[in-house]
Amino acid sequence: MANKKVDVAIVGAGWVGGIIAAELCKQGLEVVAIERGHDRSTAQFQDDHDELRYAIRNELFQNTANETQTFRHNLAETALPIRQLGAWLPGTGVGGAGVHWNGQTWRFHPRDFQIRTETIDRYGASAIPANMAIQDWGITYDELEPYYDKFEYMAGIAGKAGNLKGQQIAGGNVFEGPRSREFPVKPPADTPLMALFRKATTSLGYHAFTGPTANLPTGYKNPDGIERGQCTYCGFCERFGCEVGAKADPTVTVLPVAFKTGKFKIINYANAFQVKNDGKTAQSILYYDSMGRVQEQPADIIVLGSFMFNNTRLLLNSKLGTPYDPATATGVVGRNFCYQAGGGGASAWFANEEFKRYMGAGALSCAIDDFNADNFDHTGLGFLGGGSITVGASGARPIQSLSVPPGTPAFGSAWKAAVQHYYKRVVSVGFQGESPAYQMHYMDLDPNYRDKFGNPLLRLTFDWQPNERAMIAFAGTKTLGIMQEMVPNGQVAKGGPLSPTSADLISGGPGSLPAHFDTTAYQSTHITGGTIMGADPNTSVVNNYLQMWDAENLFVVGAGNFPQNAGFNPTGTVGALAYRAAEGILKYHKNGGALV
Amino acid sequence: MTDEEQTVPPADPPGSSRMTRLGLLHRGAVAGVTGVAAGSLLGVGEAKAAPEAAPPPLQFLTAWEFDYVTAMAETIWPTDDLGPGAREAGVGYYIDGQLAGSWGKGNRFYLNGPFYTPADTGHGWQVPMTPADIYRAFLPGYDNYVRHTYGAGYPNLTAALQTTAMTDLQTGKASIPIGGATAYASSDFYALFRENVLEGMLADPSYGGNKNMVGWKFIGFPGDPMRHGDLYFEYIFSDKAYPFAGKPLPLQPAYAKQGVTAGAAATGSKTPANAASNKLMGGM
Amino acid sequence: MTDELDAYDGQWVAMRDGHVVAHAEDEESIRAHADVQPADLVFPIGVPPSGFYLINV
Repeated sequence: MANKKVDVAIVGAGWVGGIIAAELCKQGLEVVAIERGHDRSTAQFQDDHDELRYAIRNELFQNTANETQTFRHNLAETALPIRQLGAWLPGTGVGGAGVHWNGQTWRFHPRDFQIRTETIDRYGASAIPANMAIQDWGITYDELEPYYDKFEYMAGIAGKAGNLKGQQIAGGNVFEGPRSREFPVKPPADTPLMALFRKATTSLGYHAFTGPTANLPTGYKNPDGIERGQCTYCGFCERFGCEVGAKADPTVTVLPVAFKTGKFKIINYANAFQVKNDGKTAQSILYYDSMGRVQEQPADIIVLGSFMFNNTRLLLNSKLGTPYDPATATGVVGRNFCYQAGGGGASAWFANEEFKRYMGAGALSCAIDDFNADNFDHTGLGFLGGGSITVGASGARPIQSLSVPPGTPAFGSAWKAAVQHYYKRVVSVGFQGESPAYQMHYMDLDPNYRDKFGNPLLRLTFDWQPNERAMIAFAGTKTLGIMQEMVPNGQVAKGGPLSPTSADLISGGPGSLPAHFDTTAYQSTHITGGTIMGADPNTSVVNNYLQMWDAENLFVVGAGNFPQNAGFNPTGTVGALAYRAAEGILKYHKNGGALV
Repeated sequence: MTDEEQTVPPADPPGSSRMTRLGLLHRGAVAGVTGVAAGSLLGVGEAKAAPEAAPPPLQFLTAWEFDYVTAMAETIWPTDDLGPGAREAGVGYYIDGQLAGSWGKGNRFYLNGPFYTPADTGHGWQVPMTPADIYRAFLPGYDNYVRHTYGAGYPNLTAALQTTAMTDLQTGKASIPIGGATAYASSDFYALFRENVLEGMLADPSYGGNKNMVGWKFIGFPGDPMRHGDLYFEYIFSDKAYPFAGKPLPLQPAYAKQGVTAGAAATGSKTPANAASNKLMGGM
Repeated sequence: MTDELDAYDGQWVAMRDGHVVAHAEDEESIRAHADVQPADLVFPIGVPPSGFYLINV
């Protein structure tokens, strides 16, 4: 027997589920969220400054024993399961990955939303490699701006505008799209390292600004009346829950608002596995309860708000939408699987200068955007895209933060001496690179491996392509230039090893990516695509209200909507899309029909 | 239908990290920590450790394996003029606890078949074994290799030969046949073991290593900042030295006594959890 | 499909249309290589010494 039918049923109680639930419940709709994990709140994180338990043994993340993805580098390979978490850390439980994120909250560039159009306008169609499948989003930056604004005011994002209504403002990110108003919270001050980066990049003619952050530098009361206190800079942010609620997460922002209406309910320990449908209409969410029994939650409107892997897997398991076929580049579900490219950073090891690296906040950073997106001329460079460049103070938990100069032995007394000397004396400038879409990068159901309930795992096909390799090589020369300006007397490694001396040492230069994508090394949890949005039902799963073309009462929302990834952290854009979807759902609830 | 809202979360499976920690504490494996927890808030990092307790019973490793692991850990992080090494830090006990616990048993590892030797790089763990299985299978094979190559078991080699034998793992030169020729290489074991040693030196002392916080003191990591009153915000934006950098404090296990109640966040409490520190900031 | 690159770990390669046209020990040598044309993409292969991500420094 099915559960009581509700207005809206959502898979997942993370940022997407929380935002949509809050917005709909405020309007009187009855909403149920189907959540596979347990309830969470700040109370559970009072003793979580435990690097081993949370950051190494992965307490807050998806349990890969139950469910993982399989991975192959190309269509000819047999995919192998990712048997333990590595490259990315999907969340689980109430709040989702929104509980363990760092809080770096960006808006994508106007160009990112019209990447294909603008690339062809500027460089011609021949600049796009034959198998690169970048496409426009079906929504412009200006159309999405009000929703970005809504997310930022709800979450209390701290920063300084670089573009207010078209007016560029020094000290903010002058490359960003126009904002309708200033950030809700003033940016944090500079740490000594951020100040060093700001000075160096400014003297190189770049445009430094404080990275927009969801870690409150001051107390903040949001439009929903939710008050939160300021960050303590404890340095336990990404991979941890925030014990003081200073990091915006769904459990301290939108979920309490939804609960307060009395219209919202979360069903915990409920693993959604299928959307029951007749090919045109979604009828209910089928899930396994905590006893493994199949249960059914009917609703007038269904929202898939789980992590992008699961949104794609749910559609494929439900036989909703046409699965993507990489051979013909037809079909939609699973297409445009994208990631991000790192490897273009630079590091320096000081002989004397110390930094309090153990202090920090996840999104406490200084950044430049001069080499991101199409903010610089790509003529003659041979590649498209770029990335953001940052120096961060996110907290150096010791197990993962021991860094010694290249050439130092990997163990023994010499290594130990370097570990001691450099723990507080290493700094790095990072590069977060774009990941364009390719015809052969996609997700489908694996033929060999299954999850703990017996359903097929999602299979990923992805590898580094020459465009990104060239982009990363280029980026490394830029971060090295910045590092040399920051550390004027630094000795730079030229191919050979650096050995610890009394001098400041620098490692950098043309960046590189491994011969094949490495599923074991953490890079970022910024994985996108599979349920992409667009203007054309032949090349996208959802329209620009995140309403599924093939089933009008089904909304699929999250980073899976990105047709390709940008050179920024994705959460700001996920939040904006969730607000956009909430508006669409209300419209649909009132009038029905296709919204676009 | 069954509404699962009221369902009690399933208990931690035996051997989960929580159980392991509690188990260790109950067994007194971490004399330094219990001593600290009983002390006053400030300056206890300098307090005298309790008298040396008898070593805790091993939970997974055999005595022979324990000696092997301890000797190998000492090669990674040796005792020298700069400070104590892995043996004194209790890294062997840390690894024993981890292998006996949920991680060692393969919790959070996807171990369904079929298993294949990867055709190219980047696929990670592809053997039908848990970390505990790997340690148990690998050490005798390695011992065999070390005896044949260097004439004695690892614990009995000179420090110089131990370094060479460790390098044989690092480079993959030592061929230890488990999991097929390439599915699990000796360099994989080296990477796993080295990571475990780092954890044993730098994880919270309640896990059995980092005894008396020797690892944290060595690099200048202050431990849990909350134990010194959560003062980082007064220091992070300036060059002012943090006075407790060399005086680390571990986690206080029963921490949730800060006036934050379980439902505060879920009900949108008006009182920020860190109201106290906000007041401190008010004057700045 | 691009060429298999595992064999070039730690080296520089020049690529054209997804195929390796030359490889060398360092940037200078690859750029000076007779088979490399100006429009070829030239880059190193391997795990970067500074890691992928900020947390690893």
